[in-house]
Amino acid sequence: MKNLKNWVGEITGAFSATLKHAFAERDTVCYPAEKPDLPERWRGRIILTVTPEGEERCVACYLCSSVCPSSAITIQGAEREDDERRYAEKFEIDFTRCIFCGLCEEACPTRAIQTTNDFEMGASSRAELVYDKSRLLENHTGKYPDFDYFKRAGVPIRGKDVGEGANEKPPVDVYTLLP
Amino acid sequence: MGTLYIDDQPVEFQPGDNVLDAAKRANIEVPYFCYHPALGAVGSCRVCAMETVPSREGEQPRTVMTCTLKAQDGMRFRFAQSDKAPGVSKTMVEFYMTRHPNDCPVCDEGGDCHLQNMTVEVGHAYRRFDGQKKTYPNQLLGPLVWNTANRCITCYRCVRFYQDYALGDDFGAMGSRNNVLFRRIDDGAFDSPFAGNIITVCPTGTFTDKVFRRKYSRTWMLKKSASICAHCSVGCHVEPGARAGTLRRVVPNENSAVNQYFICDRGRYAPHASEAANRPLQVKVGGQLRQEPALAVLRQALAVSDARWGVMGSAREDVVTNLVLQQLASDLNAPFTAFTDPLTEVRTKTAVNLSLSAPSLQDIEAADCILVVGELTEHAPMMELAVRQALKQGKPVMMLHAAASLLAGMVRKQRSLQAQTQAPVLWAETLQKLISSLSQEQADGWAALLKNAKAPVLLGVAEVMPTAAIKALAELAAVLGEQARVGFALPAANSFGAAQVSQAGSSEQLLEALERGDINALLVVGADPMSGWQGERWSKALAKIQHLVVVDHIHSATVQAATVVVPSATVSEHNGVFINYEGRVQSFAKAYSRETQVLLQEELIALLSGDARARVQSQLLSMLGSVMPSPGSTGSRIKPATLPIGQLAEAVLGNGPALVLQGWHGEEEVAGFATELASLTPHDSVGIAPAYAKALGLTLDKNSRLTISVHNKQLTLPVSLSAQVAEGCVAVSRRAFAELQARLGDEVKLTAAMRLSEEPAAPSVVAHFTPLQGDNSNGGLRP
Ligand code: SF4
Ligand code: SF4
Ligand code: SF4
Ligand code: SF4
Ligand code: FES
Repeated sequence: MKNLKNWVGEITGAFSATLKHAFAERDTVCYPAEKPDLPERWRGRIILTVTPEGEERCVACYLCSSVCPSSAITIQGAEREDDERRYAEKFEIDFTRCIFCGLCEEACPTRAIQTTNDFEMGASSRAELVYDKSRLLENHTGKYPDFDYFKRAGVPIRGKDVGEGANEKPPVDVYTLLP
Repeated sequence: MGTLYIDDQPVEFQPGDNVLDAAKRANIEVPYFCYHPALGAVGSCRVCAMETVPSREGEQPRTVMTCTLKAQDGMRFRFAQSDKAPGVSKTMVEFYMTRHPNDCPVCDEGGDCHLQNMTVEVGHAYRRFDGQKKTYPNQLLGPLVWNTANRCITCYRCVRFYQDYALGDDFGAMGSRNNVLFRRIDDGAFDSPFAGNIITVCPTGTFTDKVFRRKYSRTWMLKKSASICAHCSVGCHVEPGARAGTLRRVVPNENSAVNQYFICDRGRYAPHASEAANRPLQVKVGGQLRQEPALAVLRQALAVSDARWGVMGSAREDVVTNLVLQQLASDLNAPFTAFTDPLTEVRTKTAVNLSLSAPSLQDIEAADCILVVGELTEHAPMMELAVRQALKQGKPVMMLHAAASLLAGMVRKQRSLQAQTQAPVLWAETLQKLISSLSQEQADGWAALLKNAKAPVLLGVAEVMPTAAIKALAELAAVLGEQARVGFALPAANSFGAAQVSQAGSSEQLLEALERGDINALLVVGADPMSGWQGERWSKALAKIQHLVVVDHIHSATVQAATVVVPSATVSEHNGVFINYEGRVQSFAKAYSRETQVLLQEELIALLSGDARARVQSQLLSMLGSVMPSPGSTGSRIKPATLPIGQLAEAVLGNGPALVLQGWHGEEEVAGFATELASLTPHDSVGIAPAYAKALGLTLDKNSRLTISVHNKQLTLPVSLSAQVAEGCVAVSRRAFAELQARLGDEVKLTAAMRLSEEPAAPSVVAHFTPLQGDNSNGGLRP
C-alpha cells in the first residue's frame, strides 16, 4: 500500500514538473542567431586599449606577463624614437594557454590590458590563437574612458615636459643660489 | 668576532662590522638607503633605526642609526619589538615618497629597486601628502647612462662613489638646500672609466643603464649566471643577464677576493658586442652562408686532404679551449700557438714567470706605496681603481709612463701622486737606477719612498713594457724584499693561461712556417691576428694559403678573410675557465643559449681522438693542481713552473721620435664591436709633448696636424699637445698603429701638414674597427 502511494506520487510529480517547464520562459537562446547578453565585467577575449588621446596605453612594464599564471603573454618593450616613451614593440597572447583568470587586467597599472565580453574566438589551428599586437590593440579606451597613465608619471614625453604632469611643480632652477 | 642581540636574538658579527652589517648577515631585514659596504656609513637617510635596550638602571632607551654604530660584544637592540624604531623608518620613507614620481611601471629599476623594496618593507602603501611634487630636470649623460632626476632620494651614494671612491671630478652634487641634485657640469658622457657603477650603487632609478634600456626586460625575467669578465686580465666577477637568446645587461657579481662590488665600464658595456649587427651567427663556407651545424662544418673543413695545418688559439679564449686546440694540433701534427704577436708572447711570458706573488686587488688597495709602470688605467681599469684607493688614503703613488693616462692626469689634484714621463726604452735603465740607489745609505726620492714602505706594490703593463723593464721591475721587488709584491696587467683575459699552453717562440714559429709555405692551412679560434701588432705580416702570410678556418664571435679582419667561418659563443654563452693576472683560476658559467646555432667552445673536444681527450683532462688537472673551481667562487691561485721563453730583439733607442701606444680605457679587441661603448672612442690624434715638439723645430697649436711616416706608410692626424707624452715619443691609437702597419717603439718621421682650419679632416677609420656612429657623446635623442 505504502509502495503504491510512493509510486503514484513520483509519477505525478515528474509529469507536473515536465508540464510546468514546457510552458515556462526559455533560458536557452538560439545561438548564434541570437547573442547572449553578457555582463560588462565578463572575462573574455583580451584587448589592449588606448588613452583618450588615442595613444597606446601599454608601457611594456611586463607586470601582466609576470603575473600570468599560465605564461600566456610575451612582451618586448622599446622606446619611441622621438620622445623615449616606452611601448610594447611586441605583444603576444597565446589564447591556447590563457585561462581567462583576469589577473593581467588586475595587475596592469595603465589600464591597457582589459578583458571583454567577447568569447567567440574559435579557430581552426593553434597558431591562429596566438594573437599578436595587431589583433590585440583596439582603438578605444575600453572600460576606463578617462585614464591616462603618462599624465601622472614623472617622465617627460612628447607634449609633456618634466614638471608638467598632474600635481607637479615646475622643475627647480639648477643654477639658482637664492634661498 | 662577537655577539650582539637584536630582539633578544643572538647575532654574530665579524670584526669591522657595524650593527647594520651584523643584522643583514643574520637576515634581519633592516631598511637602509645611504649605507653601502664599500662607500661606508654617513648616517644621512635616517632609515636604519633600532632602539637601544638600557643596560643600567635609570638609562632611557634611545633610537639609533645602526649603520653608524660599530658592533660591540653584548650590545642589545630592539627592532621588531620596538615601538619607536619602525615608526621612524616608516616616517622617513614616507617623506622620501612625498615627491617621488609614479614611475614604477616605466622605471627600469622597478622590480630591482631598493627604494621599492624598502617602501614595501616598512609598510608605506598610500600617499597622504596631496601637495604638489617638486621636479628636477633630467640630464643627458651620453650613450651609457640614463638619468631621471625626479626619482632621486638624495642618499648621496652616487657622488660618494664617483668622487670619494673613484676620485672622479666631473660629476657631483649641484644646487643648494632642498634643491640639491646630482649631475655633471655639462651634458655628455662621463670622464671616469668607472661611471657605470653609479647605476649599481643608486638605490633608485635615477641612474639606469641606457644600453639595457634599449632592450629592456624586467630583471627577474633575465637568465643570469656567475661569469667572469673577458675584457682584461683582472678577471672581475660579473653577472650577465639575457632573455630570448640575447644579452641584455651585465652587472658586477659581488665577491670577496677580486673586484668585490664594482666593475669598469669596459666590463659592463663591452659584452654587448655579442649583439653587434655584423656578428657572425651562421656558418659561412667560401663566402656562402650555410644552414649546417657548426661542428659538422668544422670537422669537414679539417678533413680536407691536401692540407698541412697550423692551429692558433687565443689569449681571450678560455684555458680548456686552448688545451683542446693544443691537442688537436698534435693530433694533426701541426704547430700551435695562442699568441698572435711574438713580442707580446715574450713579454707576457716574462711577466707571467715573475707574477708568482702578484698582489690581489685588495693587496693593492692596502699598499702603502705603489709604483706603476705604463698606462694602467687604459689596460686594466679595475686594477687602477685599486690604486686609487691607496691614493685616496694619501699613500704615495709613483708612475712612470710614456703616453697620456687618466691616472697620470690626476697628478694635480692628488698630492701623493707623482708621475714621470719617459720613453719605454729607457724604463729598464730608470728602474735599474732605482735599484742601485736603494742600496745607498741615503736613498732619496722614489727610492726612499719604496725603501720605507712596509707593503709596497709594483705594477706594470706587460703589453707596453720592454722585456728588460719587466725584468727590472721584478728585480726591484726582489731587492725590496719579502714585503714587496709585483704584478703585471696582461694583454687579455686569459693571457696567463695562454702562456701555459704555448711553447717558447710559438707564434714566431707558426708565422715563419706560414711564410715558408710549410703549412697551407690555418685554424684560428677566437683570435684576430690580422689586426694585431703583426697584422701586416699575418695578412701577407694568410693571403697565400688555401684554407683559413676561423672560429669567432666578432666580425674581425681575420673572419672577413676566412674561407670557412664558424660562429662561436661569447663568454656569457658557454662554460669555461680563465686564469687572471695573479694566476687565479676562475670558472664561468653559461647564462643563455642563442637561438641560432653557434659552436660552444667546449664542443671542440669532440674533434679530438680518445687519447688526446684523456691528455687534455690530465693536463688540465696538472695545470690547475686541484679540482676545478665552481663558477662564482674566487678560485685558487696556481704557481706554475717557470716557462721557457725564446729570444727576441726589441726596439732600441733611436734618434727620431718613437711611436708609443695611446690607449683608451674602453678599448679591447671585442669591445670595439660594442656599438655604444665604441661610440665614445676618442678621435684619433697624435699626442706629443709641447716641449719636445719645440725641440724638433715644430711649431704646433691645437689646430695643427702632423704627418707620421714610417716604412713607406703615411698618416696625417690632428695634433693633441699633451705634457703627458714622454720626450722622444709620439703617442697614437691602436687604429693608427694598424693603419701605419707599425709596431711599438718604431722610429717615425714627423712633418707638419695642412692645418685643421684650412681643410676639414675626414676621420680615418680602419675597416675592421666599428666606425663611430649612433649616439654621439651628447647621447640623447632629444636635443
Ligand atoms: S587572463 Fe589570466 S591566463 Fe589569460 S593572459 Fe591574463 S593572466 Fe594570463
Ligand atoms: S601590465 Fe599593462 S602596461 Fe604593463 S605590459 Fe601589461 S598591458 Fe602593458
Ligand atoms: S626608483 Fe624605484 S620606487 Fe622609484 S619609480 Fe623607480 S622603481 Fe619605482
Ligand atoms: S677591470 Fe678588466 S676584468 Fe674587470 S671589469 Fe674591467 S675589463 Fe673586465
Ligand atoms: S643607512 Fe643608516 S642612516 Fe642611512
